[in-house]
Amino acid sequence: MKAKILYSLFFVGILTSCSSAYKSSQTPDDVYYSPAQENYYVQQETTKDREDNFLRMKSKNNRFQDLDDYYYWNDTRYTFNNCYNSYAYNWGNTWHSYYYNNWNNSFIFNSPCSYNNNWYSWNYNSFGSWNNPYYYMIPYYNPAIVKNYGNTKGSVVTAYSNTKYNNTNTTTKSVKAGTSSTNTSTGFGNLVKKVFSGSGNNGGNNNGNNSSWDRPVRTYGNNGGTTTSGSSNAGGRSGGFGSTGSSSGSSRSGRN
Amino acid sequence: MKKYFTLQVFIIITLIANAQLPDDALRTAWYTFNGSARNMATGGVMGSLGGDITAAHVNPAGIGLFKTKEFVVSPGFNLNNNKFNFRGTDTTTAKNNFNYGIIGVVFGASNNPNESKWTSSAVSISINQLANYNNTIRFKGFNNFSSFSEQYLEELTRDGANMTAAEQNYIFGSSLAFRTYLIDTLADGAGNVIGFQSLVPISTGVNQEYNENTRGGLHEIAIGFAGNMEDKLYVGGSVDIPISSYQRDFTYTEKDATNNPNNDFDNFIYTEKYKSFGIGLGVKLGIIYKPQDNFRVGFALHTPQFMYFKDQIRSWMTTNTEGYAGIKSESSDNLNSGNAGIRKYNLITPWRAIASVSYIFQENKNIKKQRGFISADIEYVNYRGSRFFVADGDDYVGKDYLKMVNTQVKSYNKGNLNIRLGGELKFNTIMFRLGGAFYGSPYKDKDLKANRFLATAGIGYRNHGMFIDLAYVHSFNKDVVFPYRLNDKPNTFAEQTGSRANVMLTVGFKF
Repeated sequence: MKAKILYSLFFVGILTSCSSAYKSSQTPDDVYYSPAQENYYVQQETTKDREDNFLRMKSKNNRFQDLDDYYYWNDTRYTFNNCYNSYAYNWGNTWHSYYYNNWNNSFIFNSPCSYNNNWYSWNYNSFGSWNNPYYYMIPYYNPAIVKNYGNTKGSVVTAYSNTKYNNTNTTTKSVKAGTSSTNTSTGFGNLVKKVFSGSGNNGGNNNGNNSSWDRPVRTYGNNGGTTTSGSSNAGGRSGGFGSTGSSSGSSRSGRN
Repeated sequence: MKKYFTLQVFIIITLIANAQLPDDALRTAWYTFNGSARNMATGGVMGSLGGDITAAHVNPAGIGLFKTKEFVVSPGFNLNNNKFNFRGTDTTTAKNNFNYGIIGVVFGASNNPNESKWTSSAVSISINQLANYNNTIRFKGFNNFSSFSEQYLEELTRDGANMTAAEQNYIFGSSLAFRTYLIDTLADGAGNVIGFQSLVPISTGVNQEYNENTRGGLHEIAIGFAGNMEDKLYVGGSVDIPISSYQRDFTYTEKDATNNPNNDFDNFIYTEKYKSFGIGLGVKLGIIYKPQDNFRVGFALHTPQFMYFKDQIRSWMTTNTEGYAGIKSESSDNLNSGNAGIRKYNLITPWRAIASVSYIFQENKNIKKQRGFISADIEYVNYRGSRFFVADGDDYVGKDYLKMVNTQVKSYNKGNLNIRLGGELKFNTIMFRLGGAFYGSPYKDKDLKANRFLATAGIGYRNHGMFIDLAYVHSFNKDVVFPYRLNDKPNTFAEQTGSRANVMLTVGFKF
């Protein structure tokens, strides 16, 4: 509990200190206008700034009187910072200023030689190998194997093609046993089977009403079925996932 | 021994299967906007506006407007109120849950104008919840036209399954129905099996009840990069990691609508527990251009995301067929050595494109002169572009199956437009926002009415280096829910209406 409180205080402290930069000034709204942050201008010495400083120091302090001209010492042609004249000049220059001036990163990022060299070697040593044609792998498929391995017709999937809908009932809710089927009148009579109570299906006792009802049925030959008899090789759906067990090999229990 | 081994191999091979459906594809595609409270209060517009970290998930060029740094966190709350009409019977459900919008940090910084043509650059890292799956779908109604059990009849007869296959090869559905005598074989006069029958007395009707409780969400981590060229042109991109977590507890019951104890059917209950976890990778690219001050146009392209999924399922069924076989129960656990069914697959989500315009009233450095903005997005989503692929290249059964699913995705779904409009009025440190959005149907069939209309509002306060925004989004939803689907009979579905209220708070800090 103590640790949680300490972490919370630490977090709030961090956020509070983070936002302190704008506490006394307007809080920028980047949707409208995003101001360049001040540290860029503070830390980015332009050439003119450096020249002014040099002249100022020269005029105020005798120790600088003997120094030669600013442009001599800052002539890029003679700079030791030779990496900036390399192929990667633009990369180094851009990222150097980006990190140094705005993100205040450490000195190591301001070493253009090591920085540029890393990028140079990285590009050529790491990415180069990816572009090597010898590394390409050509996928191979045997079309004779791919085809006809499914053993399901995917009826749950193909049912999405059925765009006929029925959202109303054709009779009242309190249909009593013994009334005639309404489904046969809808043209789906071949998908139902009329069952009579006490007619030998172990359905129970006959109350003397000769009651009957329809059960949904499907036969192998109709409605998309391609076989006229069953096979044990069928399967593969019904919410079917990959199975790791084998206990489905048991038989179903008998009727009571 | 050899015979036993052959049987084991046969069983394992035939049970390797897949159950992806076109509905699964929409789960990672058809969702409304989510982000910062400011973004949500203004109708989700972010195609050309920029200056909000939400842009990393919509048009990454928008983070190019940042020359500052900020951190945001967005907790929220959802209130679902659903209404269903199923075959003339109305049902309502409600479910509330916590959610979140965008959480992240953006680093913007100016470049040295003498050394680069890019005036500024920005990077961001953020997580956003694209979709919230927490909901309860429950409806019931009387039906004397079709039964849930008929899908099992279709499956077994179309596959040409005999008794052995019906017992063993469909352990998450048809085999449970067959083993509990919800369905049984159908014999001709000579005693030969010619198909299957359901014990449901459909002509006298059954009372059906569908109950689905879903949890989880679709989350997206985005690492965004953007550059600003002379405060005129902004170019950005983001690398996205979508993470999907989805759980579904599903119970479906059918009860005899009559009081007849002798019609061989009283009720059945099917229960399913399903879990799905997916992770992937995608890219978003975008540009924003200012043809003149105060005016912005934007375009963004979201490439399809490649996602890997692993799903688990467990199923149970209990059936009471009265005098026919009594009360019988069976479970997939019992038929699968106690293991859940597992499927692994890949999904490519649909691409989407966004075009947008914004007008800013006073794009001024002095916030006291900033007056507001108005913005509009139009988005096209190719819902029919989702594709499933097997995770294992040697799973040839899965390949054939997923070809069927992909064919159905193409024919069942369509591409459609989403429109978002919103604006803000700004009075120094206080802001007032309004917006609206319309998301069109992903279904090709016009008889399936589905859309989402969102009305949004919010307020914001920005001062002392921080900002607080509050948004309210009221989503009027229309959709359809199929309890089951059949090939050879007209299908029945519940019409879903109702709403989702979403309250979102964003707290941000400039640093």
